[in-house]
Amino acid sequence: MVFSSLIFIFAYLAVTLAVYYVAPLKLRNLVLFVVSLAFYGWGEPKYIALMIVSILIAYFFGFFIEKHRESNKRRAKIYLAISLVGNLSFLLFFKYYNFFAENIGFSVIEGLTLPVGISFYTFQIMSYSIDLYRGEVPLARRIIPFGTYVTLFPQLIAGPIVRYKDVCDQMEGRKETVSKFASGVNRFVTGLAKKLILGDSAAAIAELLERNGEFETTVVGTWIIMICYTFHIYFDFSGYSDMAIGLGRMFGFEFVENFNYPYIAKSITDFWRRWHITLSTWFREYIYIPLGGNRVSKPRAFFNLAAVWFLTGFWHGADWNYILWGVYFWVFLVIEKAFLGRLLKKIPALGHIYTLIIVGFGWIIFFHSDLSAIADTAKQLIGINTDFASANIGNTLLRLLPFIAVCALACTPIPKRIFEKLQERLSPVLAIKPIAVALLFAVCIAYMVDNSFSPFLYYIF
Amino acid sequence: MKKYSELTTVILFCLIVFSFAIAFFVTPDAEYSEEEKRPLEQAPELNGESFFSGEFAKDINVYFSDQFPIRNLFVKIKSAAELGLGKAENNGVLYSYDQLAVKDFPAYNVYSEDMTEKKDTDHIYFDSVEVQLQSVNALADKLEIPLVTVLPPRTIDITESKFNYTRPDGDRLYDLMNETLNENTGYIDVLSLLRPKYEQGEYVYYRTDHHWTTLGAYYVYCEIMESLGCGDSIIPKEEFDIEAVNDFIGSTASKGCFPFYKKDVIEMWHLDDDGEYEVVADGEDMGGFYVRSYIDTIDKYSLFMGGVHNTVSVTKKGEDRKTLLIARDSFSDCLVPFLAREFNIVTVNLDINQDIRFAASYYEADAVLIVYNAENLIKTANLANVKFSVAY
Repeated sequence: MVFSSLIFIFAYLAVTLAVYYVAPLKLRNLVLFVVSLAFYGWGEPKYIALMIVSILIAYFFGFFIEKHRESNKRRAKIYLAISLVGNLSFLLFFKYYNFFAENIGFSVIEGLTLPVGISFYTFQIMSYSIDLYRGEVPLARRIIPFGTYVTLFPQLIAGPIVRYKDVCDQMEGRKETVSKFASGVNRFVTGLAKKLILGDSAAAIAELLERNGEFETTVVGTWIIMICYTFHIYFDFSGYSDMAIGLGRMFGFEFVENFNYPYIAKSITDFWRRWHITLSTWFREYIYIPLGGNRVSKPRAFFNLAAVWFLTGFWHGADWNYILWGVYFWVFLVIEKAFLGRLLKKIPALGHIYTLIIVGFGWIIFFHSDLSAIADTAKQLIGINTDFASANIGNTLLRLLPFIAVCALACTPIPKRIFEKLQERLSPVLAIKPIAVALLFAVCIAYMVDNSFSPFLYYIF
Repeated sequence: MKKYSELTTVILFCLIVFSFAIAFFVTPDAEYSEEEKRPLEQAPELNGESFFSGEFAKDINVYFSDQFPIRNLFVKIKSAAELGLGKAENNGVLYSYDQLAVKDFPAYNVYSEDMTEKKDTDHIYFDSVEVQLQSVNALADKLEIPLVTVLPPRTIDITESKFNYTRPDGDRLYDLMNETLNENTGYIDVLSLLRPKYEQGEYVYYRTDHHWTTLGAYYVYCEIMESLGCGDSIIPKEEFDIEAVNDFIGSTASKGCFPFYKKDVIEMWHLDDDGEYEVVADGEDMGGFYVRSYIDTIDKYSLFMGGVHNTVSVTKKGEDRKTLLIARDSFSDCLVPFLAREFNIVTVNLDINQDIRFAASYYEADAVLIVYNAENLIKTANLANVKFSVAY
């Protein structure tokens, strides 16, 4: 079930909100646990068992780790290792088995589907075990709150990757307030609008242009496709994070932010501080720093960074293009560290354009599992064997300009700043805000309702 | 103030979520949408198999959107939002207030090299079109009686000047018709006939529908009459008594779902002797050219002889006249009342395998008229059906 569907909002969320707020305080975590499992099992109920086993492994080994942490560090480490291997093995098997099998020559398992959100919740569970071993979080003594943390439906499918240490206090001592709920609503509706109105439109345009590209390829057309990809993935993904954070607030949680206007970044280094922040944090905390980070010899630091970016790429998907995508960013990060970063700081405008182009082409790699298609696209972008433009693509560009402008503006903090200024200066804005949010919500509902519209038979004849 | 604002936000949100949730489950499901002219998805059956295969999860999403309360309003809101984003396009329909036009014609079942289904592309499979045109040529060469071929253009071809849009292939489709169809086909170039008239402001194509108007059909009627050597018996425009039916919302508007547009007017052009014609469709007497019961329905275009039938025949009481066989699509429906003043008419459909040469001899036709619109020419390969007559 995705958040941007009618069934989620008008069946699942309606029931969940009603039951949650009717239930006595003590039972609220149990309610969330049960409905989250139902959410997870929707469409693929068999993987509920997998999820429960994952939770149990981390939960029980947590006790062992806690017990031996002070007295016998080695033993605690072994228990940590078992717990991590146990959880990782599910991820490795379901996500990567076929990839390795294909590349090594083993037989591929047909119909092996990836359990929804496994990449996200595995990382969440691991954060608990590792931080417990480090003594940074208290032991989760009760299974229900811990299970609720892992399965919590808002962040289950696509993040943010909430570390246990960020929310463990909230698991048993959070307070639901009108103020939090209201800000949750605003955030949820914003995310919904970002995904449905901007993200899906950008995706549709990219798809149409790609198909038309079979018949007519131009430099301008390829650039528009790249721009649409760039908007699509940002509005889709950050919209989803917004919805998750908003939903969390409706139930009294406060999750960490996942995006911070990544497309205003002035270097790739800057971009990765703003994009999918919780994932970067996870890799930094649990891979990069344990490997020694940059406080080691130069070659080692070089290796550490490479390892992290290889894994970041591979985490996004079990295919060569994802690995390439990770390594691609690693290359630019190294170059920036060496000299480019200092240069870009002097000319921020150039840094901005450079970042957008590198990131934009990154999405081309991200979306194409066929490596030769990536090479072709690169050629088309710089005009090798490709016409610059055609009358048709010129017209398409003209028609798309307003949409591209709206998207570009929505990627910046400007709309938010304008709104905050207005709110300060004109008090009626605060009164109108709820109505504006309700109207935007209605528009989002309209986009969900009209999703399935198809032409009718009379039309054919 | 802040407290009030927050409380209102929560109340409004919950109100929307819960009232629609309740309304959805309380209101009975509709079976058919008049506005969209299609059956609506019904509640999917829940059983172990459908649930575990994910089929249920998929179907229930469609069910939710089809049966959602005040669906029509939401559909309009969406297309208004799309207009607001400056798209001037929804569901592949281009928008301007007084003209709508479909721009995407997904082709299926066409004679293309790979035979794959191509959705929503602006591309036309010209090889498929050419195969069909060649079969008209083949028919024309074998047919012993006069043939007239009318291939009505798509609305977008006639009305392109209204939009900030260029058809990817321009007039190539019509150039191909002009080049390919031989003299025996009696091809009438409707694009050259009606586009200038449209650009001069004449109401020859509907604003909200893919058909030509009665006026548009009248101009084509004049050309057909000339082509069949009956130019002298063309009835002048002024002699007709025009009855207008307002508020016609056609297929293009239904597809585009735009909130604001200028509705259409369907005209019935009467003459004093209207009552003398006998219109029989699939054995049933239609009571004249116009089936007035359709006037108050959403499907107003069907008032021309009651819409789609396998065969329609028109005769004039007490007169022995020549017979014109029309291999038709829906564009011919408003053409028949004009042509019937001169000929007895028999129509057959082109969407099923029709042996036109056989039909012509079976109905003892004196001439054949093919009316087959360009959209169908692009989307299907049905016009190639006429070549079946060559085989025997």
